Amino acid sequence: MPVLSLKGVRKTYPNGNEAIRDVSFEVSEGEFLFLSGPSGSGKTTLIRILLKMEETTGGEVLVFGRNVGALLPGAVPYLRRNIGVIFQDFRLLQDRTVFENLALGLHILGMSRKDISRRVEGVLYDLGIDRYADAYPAMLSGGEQQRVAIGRALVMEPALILADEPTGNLDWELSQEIIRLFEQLNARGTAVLMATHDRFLLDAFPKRTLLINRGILVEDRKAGTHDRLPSFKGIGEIG
Amino acid sequence: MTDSDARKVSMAIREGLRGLIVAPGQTVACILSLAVAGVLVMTAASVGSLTMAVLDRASSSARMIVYLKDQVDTARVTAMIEGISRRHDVESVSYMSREEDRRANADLLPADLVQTLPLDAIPGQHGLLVKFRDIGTGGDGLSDLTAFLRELEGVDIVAEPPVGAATIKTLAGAVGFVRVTLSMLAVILLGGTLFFVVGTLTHTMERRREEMQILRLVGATNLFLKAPLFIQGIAQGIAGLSSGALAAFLIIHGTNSYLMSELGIGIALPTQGWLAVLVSIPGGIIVGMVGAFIATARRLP
Repeated sequence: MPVLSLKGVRKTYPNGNEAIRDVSFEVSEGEFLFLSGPSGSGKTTLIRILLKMEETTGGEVLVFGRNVGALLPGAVPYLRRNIGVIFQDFRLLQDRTVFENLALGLHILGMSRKDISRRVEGVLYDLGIDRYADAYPAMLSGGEQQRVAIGRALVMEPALILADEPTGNLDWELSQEIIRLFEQLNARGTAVLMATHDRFLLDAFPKRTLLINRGILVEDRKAGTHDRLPSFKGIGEIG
Repeated sequence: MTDSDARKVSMAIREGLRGLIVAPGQTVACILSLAVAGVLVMTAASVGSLTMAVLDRASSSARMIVYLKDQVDTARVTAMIEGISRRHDVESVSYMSREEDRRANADLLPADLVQTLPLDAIPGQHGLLVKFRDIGTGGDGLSDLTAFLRELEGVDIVAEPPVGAATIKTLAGAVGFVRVTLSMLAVILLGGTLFFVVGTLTHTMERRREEMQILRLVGATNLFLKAPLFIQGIAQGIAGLSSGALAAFLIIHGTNSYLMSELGIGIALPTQGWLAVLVSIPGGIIVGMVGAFIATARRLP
């Protein structure tokens, strides 16, 4: 069963702006793929639809086989607990320590302090930021903060990670580090869908890539075939 | 409740109390406002209670004395009491012996004069004490009752009440006015306290908006997000109203002590201090919960 399945998904805002137009694709268990396209092409909207932060105006979205459009509001939090979300701006709570930021989701699950400590410390160690457990986000570099944000997603042990431009605020070296980190997670079986408009990253990590422009899925590129793809200039402006 | 649920409740309480320091200035202002409201409610209730007591006492002066002829015997007195008691405008009827009437008359004379007089020199006549019940006529029914009593066999004199029908009507109106005024004051003050609780919780939600968005993304339910706000509202409600009730108790107690000891005034503001403080706790819970309900209804539907 695919972790994600989109069929003819459309999103039109009340002002008539068509953000997503008839998008269909599937993501299998344990797959790693990029969602790419210029700024404003609909990448973030698509991720928000997958999280049911936005409603579609047509089509069908299945996440883990469940029809997201038919989910009752009370069921949405339980869907989100299986999806790790990472953003470009990290979205860390500045008045909480790194440890507390990672523990947030586990408190929601009602886990014991002992179990929370064990799981958070394990993830901090895996991400190489265990020495910052008691530090506040503002004391960390951008790369370290993004690792904390990734840790917050990982600690929930999600089956799927949705990352929206997670390297947007990082330099080239740190960006590569983050992708390698995702690759390690992916190797453990977690599906990763990462939105990016960074052409260099796509070249450096030739994975399956969904190219989206003006809300239309223009190409579903298979892994390792990036040489034969058109450049962004061919499909729109690079943001 | 499972361990997991207990941990969630514990987390909600922790986060709710943490919410009190998210905007400390606003929290203090809210608690102070609630305390002032608590003082005003309790003081108003106390003054209102005193006013009502005074007015009730004045109204109860609408008591008629039905003097009976000497030859009226016990059986006749019993029959008269039963007959008068059946009237809907009579609150109570009791027998007054000659001795009781004599003592009442003696109380009206100077004490040194009473001591020089033989007991039988002070007149005393047996009779019935009939207490009039105001049944919403404002005293208009008093003349009907007087006429009825005068017609009874064995009645010698019907003494008019010390206050007339017009006075009773005025007193009844005053009691009603005090009741309505106090009720309106209580509603306004409670509405005001709700305004402060809602304002503080809305401010807290605004300050924690990003945190709530993140919590939603990692799978927090609405209940998980709302519970700390309810805890915060309840904590503010209890802290504000109970400190207000305590302050009011001390103010009223101090005022009473001053009136009694320094001015020698034999009337005091009624106060049930500890009862008021105890009542303020469920009151604070209700105010906090209603405030949190209003504050979260729109932002966390």
